[in-house]
Amino acid sequence: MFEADIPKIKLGGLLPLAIIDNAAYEFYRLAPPGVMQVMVSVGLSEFSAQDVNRAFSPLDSYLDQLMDRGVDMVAQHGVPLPILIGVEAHDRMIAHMAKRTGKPASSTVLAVARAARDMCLKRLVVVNKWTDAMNGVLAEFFAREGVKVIGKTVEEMTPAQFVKLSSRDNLTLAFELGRKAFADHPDCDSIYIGGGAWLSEPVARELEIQTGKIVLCNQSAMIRDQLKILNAWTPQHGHSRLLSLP
Amino acid sequence: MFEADIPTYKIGYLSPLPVIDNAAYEFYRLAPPGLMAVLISVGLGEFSAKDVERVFVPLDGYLDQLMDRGIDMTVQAGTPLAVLMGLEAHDRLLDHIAKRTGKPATSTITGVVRASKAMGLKKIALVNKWSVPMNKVLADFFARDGIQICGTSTKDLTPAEFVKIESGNHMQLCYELSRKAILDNPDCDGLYVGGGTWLSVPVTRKLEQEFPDKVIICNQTAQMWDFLHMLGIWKPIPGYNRLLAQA
Repeated sequence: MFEADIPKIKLGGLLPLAIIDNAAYEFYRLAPPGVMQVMVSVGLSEFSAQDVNRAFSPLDSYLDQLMDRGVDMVAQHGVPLPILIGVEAHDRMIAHMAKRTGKPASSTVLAVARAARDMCLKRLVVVNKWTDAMNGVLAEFFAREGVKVIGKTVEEMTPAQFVKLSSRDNLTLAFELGRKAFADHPDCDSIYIGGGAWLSEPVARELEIQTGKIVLCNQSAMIRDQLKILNAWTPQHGHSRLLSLP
Repeated sequence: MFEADIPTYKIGYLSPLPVIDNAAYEFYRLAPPGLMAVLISVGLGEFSAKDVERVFVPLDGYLDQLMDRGIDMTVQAGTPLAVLMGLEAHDRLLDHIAKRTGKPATSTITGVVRASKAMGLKKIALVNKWSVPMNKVLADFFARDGIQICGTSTKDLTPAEFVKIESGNHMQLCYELSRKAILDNPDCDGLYVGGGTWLSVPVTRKLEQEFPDKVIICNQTAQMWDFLHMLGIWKPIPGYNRLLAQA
């Protein structure tokens, strides 16, 4: 009786911060109808490996709660968490998530790196608010997909600082850093705007229009990756190229 | 440059359960463009006054985090929490939220009662998965706005039980309990379908088609109606149910 209203796909997500705002807002602007995000917050409060370990200590309980809601797959959201614990620990966590749930598992950083590979990108500039050390590990995630990070444009901030920026200021910052990245690295074939505290998809769309180059961001990479994993991917026009290209 | 993309209003949500699914899904199906939900889970584990007390211990911390995100108002979401703490504690909680944030504060139950009143309801039946004592307190919330409860149609379940019900079965349960409520209480002029773990908006639409003399109130539509009125930006939202369609 309610076939048209029942979610067709449920994407389980471990969201990084205690507050969930942009993630759901952008997701429901971009995701096809009938795709539901089932979210549990892990409550990261600072960028440190110690805090990541604390946030994930109840991981199995989070996964069980997501499974109770009938999710079709699980994903660890937020790039800072994997780049704080490193490639190997990240991979172990994703393997554990898949084993525990019996469902496909992914992460934002995997989705972004796979999207870069899908788009045949080779030379990338990263744009974010993270430390040098964090960006060093991020480059390793791209490297194993054959993508070289040739530069970074960064305004380093802590979560406590950047969550207080207004949506407008955060979006403007993303745009300005993105423009600078392209200006400083004319030989790049793309940039990756990392972070979920700014609304990055509109920035990606605008920068793609201005530069003609591909701009990666978390939300579009995640939607693409998860729907591809579930064999439910179809390109959607009107958004950035990660969403509009096959 | 990004005017169409920047949220125009942000609703701070104290979300009841650890997992957030239907609330955001239905919110963004109903919300006008530019309305953002800023959600923080308070992590209720069971339906008890003790657990409600526990989840609100860090209330000021939650509110400060919501304020950091620039919210325009706050909602204590979830009727069970309000009915487990009772009228007076609920009212004190909302006063405190408004004072701490300096922004308007509301709750699901407040939105539901206001919406029922606005629709001119006098006698309603309750549909939910809550206990008899919880429904008794719920009746007190309606009574102070002159609305009488004429019956209930419930299936008493714990959160641990009902979160495991598959979406389609949950909607079917909602529909069957609601239909029974109307048939058992033919003199009611509406229903309040409580609870956020079933997708209730499509059920209200179907029931209002089937019983055109009844008004069906559910959490998501009542909250949306309440938010938009409080923010002074109300416009009818056609295509869902009579509450949202009214001018």
